[in-house]
Amino acid sequence: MSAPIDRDPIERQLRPWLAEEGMVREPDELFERVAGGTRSVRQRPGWVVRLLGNGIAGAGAGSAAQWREHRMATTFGLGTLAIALAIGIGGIGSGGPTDPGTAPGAVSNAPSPSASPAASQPASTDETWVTVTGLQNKLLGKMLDMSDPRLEGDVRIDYERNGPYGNDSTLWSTVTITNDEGSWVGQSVGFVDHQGRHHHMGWFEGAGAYEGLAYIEQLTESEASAGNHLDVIGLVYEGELPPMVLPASTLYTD
Amino acid sequence: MDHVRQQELVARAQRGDHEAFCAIARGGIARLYATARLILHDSERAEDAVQEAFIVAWRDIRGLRDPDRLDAWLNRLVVRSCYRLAERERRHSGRIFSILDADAPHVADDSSLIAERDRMGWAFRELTPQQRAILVLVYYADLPLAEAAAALQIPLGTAKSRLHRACQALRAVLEADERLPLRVSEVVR
Repeated sequence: MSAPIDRDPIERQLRPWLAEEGMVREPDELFERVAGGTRSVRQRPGWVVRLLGNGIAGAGAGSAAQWREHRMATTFGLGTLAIALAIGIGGIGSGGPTDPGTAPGAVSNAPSPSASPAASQPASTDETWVTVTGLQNKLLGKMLDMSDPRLEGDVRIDYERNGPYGNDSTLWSTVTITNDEGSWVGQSVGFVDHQGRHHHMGWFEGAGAYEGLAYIEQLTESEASAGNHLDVIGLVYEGELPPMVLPASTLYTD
Repeated sequence: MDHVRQQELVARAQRGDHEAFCAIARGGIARLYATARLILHDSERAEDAVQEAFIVAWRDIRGLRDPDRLDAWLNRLVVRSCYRLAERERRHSGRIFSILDADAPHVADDSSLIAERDRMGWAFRELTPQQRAILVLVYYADLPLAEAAAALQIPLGTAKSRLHRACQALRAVLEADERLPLRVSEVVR
């Protein structure tokens, strides 16, 4: 154990004062309150999946190696993204105006367009990917029941997709998760499978109280969710996001 | 609590054994209460913070992967509860000012020692809950800065700068108090 700073006069004054002030006994009934208060509380499930391990074989170089070092100080989040089907995922089907200037990942603060019926979707069945602004700065839902409360909060989203919303389509978005202490700002890419279920990967940088942290998540819509929520599993760690595009030769070179 | 005993209790609590969890709580409640009381400067709210932290701990203990991190985890839960309670009370805070006789001769006796202690107490209360928390964890709980940072859920670099700023702020408050005939004597909710 090492002293973090010089023992300046303030520290010399503060330590004995804290020691004296801290010499108080807890009230007798506090333990009873704790025991009684916890007795009826239901425990949450533990970790479903552990991601630590040799996920990437071999030692990489540069920022990839740096990222793996950061993984050692990770925590995991498991929870749900509650989605409002009427205005959220379901609303993605509302085709906005085609906007080639809005690149995937671009953050927009434009007013949210109201969800319109699926009938207004543009027909786009050819092989060319059509960038369509689906939802801008839309409150999609809330991250709830996360095992790591730092990840709970409102989820706002700028959504884009290739062609009309539906099964077997791909989606990408910029996403912000915000709570009272800070926010996570990042991107998400995924697809809707042939059964209409969502599968996404997201990566975020922390802001506010989460400055210096990064978060990577996987969202899955299971059969059991009945379309009401996405299951989330993810990883929070100190450091930067991993390099998203690296040649395989770089990743796997010793 | 010895290491093996703690690991055993955590494992049992993770399997839903409430008695084991109560043993954990009994072992840590005094330390956590003192920590919360120092951060919040309020006995009642400290009790609430500790109770809230233990409820979260019981609810989420199955997610604690490393039983050796139990104390660090409990610290984090208590600090988080303190922040929440401090924020809830912030809007209702106020101050009572009293005017001291600036020309009165300074007499070094027991009463001046008490006054010095009160002065530190007042100055400490002037800090933000975040500043108080890092000072309490480092200078009262004697946590290494890395562990304090983990308890506060902030990067180590942020913890270093926060500790530095907290000390600066405390020094500034004390110095300002020395210069002014108008002294804040008490902070009340």
